[in-house]
Amino acid sequence: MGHRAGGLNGLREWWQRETRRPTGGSFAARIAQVHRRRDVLRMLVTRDLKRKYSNSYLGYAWTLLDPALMIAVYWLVWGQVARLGIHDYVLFLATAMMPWIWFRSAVSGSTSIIYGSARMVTSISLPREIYPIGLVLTKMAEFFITLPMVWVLALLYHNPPTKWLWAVPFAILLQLMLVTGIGLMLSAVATLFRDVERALHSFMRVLFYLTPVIYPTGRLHGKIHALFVLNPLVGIFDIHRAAFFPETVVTGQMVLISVIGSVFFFVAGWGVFIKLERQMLKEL
Amino acid sequence: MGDAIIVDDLGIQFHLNRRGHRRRKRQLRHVFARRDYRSDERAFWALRNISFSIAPGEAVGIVGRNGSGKSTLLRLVAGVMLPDEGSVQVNGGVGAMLGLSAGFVGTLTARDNIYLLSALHGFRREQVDERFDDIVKWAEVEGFVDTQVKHFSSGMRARLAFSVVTQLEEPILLVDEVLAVGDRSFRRKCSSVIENMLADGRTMLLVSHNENDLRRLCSRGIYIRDHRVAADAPIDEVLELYSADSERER
Repeated sequence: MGHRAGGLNGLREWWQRETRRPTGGSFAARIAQVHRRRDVLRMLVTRDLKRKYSNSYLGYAWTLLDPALMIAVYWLVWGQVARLGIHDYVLFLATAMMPWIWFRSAVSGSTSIIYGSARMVTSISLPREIYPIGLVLTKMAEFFITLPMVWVLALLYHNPPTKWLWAVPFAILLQLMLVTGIGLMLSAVATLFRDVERALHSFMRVLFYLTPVIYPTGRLHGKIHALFVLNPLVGIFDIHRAAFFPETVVTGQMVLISVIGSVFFFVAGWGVFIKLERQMLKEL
Repeated sequence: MGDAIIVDDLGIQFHLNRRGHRRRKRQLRHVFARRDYRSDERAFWALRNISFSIAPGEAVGIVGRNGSGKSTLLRLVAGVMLPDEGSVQVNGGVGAMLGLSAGFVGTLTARDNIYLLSALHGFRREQVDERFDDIVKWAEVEGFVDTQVKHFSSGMRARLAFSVVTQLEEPILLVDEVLAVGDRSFRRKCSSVIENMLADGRTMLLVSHNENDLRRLCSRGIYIRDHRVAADAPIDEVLELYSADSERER
């Protein structure tokens, strides 16, 4: 067959062979596999949401309570004690806290997702990517549950949305790519090197202060500002913030860095996962 | 019609640490060193030079001592582990019955778990809706459908999992020791289900230590000794050779 199939036909044959594999294979094959098993993804997300709340009295209220408590603490410290002098500080915190919690919980959770699901990974034939991607989507669902809190606060503070509100879905998409890439990478790396989990714990605390959650990007100037905006989270979070704070400056450079960073981590993170998959499966 | 399963020169390597356990941690250089691992590392081949093919409709039993690589072989065929050498080619859908209750969530109800486990094994929601009553009835858990699975006995859990998995319509079945769980009546029920599946003309690869099951269900046996194929013959011959080997070692 091979010699007769040239050009487009050859491509189609390759595509059909790749997409029919149950697991593994090239990058394209893997995306097709995850897409084909999207019902499993939906199942895993609902399972995790149900499981988390099935044995608690407050149930879904916990999803709202966690960011609310964090916002309250930072409001007390940075709004009341060490006055940063930012107006509508609770809303200011909330706009970036919600995407931050999505980022933090998905990235920290990804380090244990593969070996935590070892029995499933070694006995059910699914694309291994399903597990970290499912985690990222679960955390995204929780993020969507908390998002209305921002809108309610905006109403209370009489801050009408700006035209940047239209860019928020774009910021969410960028973050989805970024978190998926990092999650895939860490899930494989941390299965082979358990120290990653600890190192990440410290790193996340540092990263929190290097990301504009409790202060505005505009407070930084010169070289520090130039270094600061190399963090792809800056552009993403500032879009969320600009949607309710018209004075937030989102430059083209910041958005470009976020786009490049997200695409880079998505492709490179998945690449690392593919590279380490064989050894990762032996460790389970 | 081609073969259902073609295993060609298959090999998989594990790494040992100084105490002889599988390594849990490895160094960065090993990850990026591709396949030619340094010789100073104590690597061993859990399986090597394994080749065989299985025709559609054949039922093959795999025997060997604990740790001889039987389960690893089944996992490689199922695609939940990846070989370092050689290849596995499977023509047709594979139903993997390896760790049965993997995927169960204790804090969810039996109903939720049935849908969850079915989805993991590739069923669509409507297919489960259709079979739901059969699954519950076969597992003998009527009346506990909305009970959390953590309150189930291990036998109930095994029945429920087996009941879901046997709904699989895949032409190729991989079965690892699932017949060893549960009481006698459950085991008998399981084997009769598997017999029915085989009567449908499905292909099966079975790992078991139970000679009766092997003799009744399989026509051919593969004996794995020292991580290689020691015999590939009719099941009676293979079992004879295997028990002769076991006797000698005692």
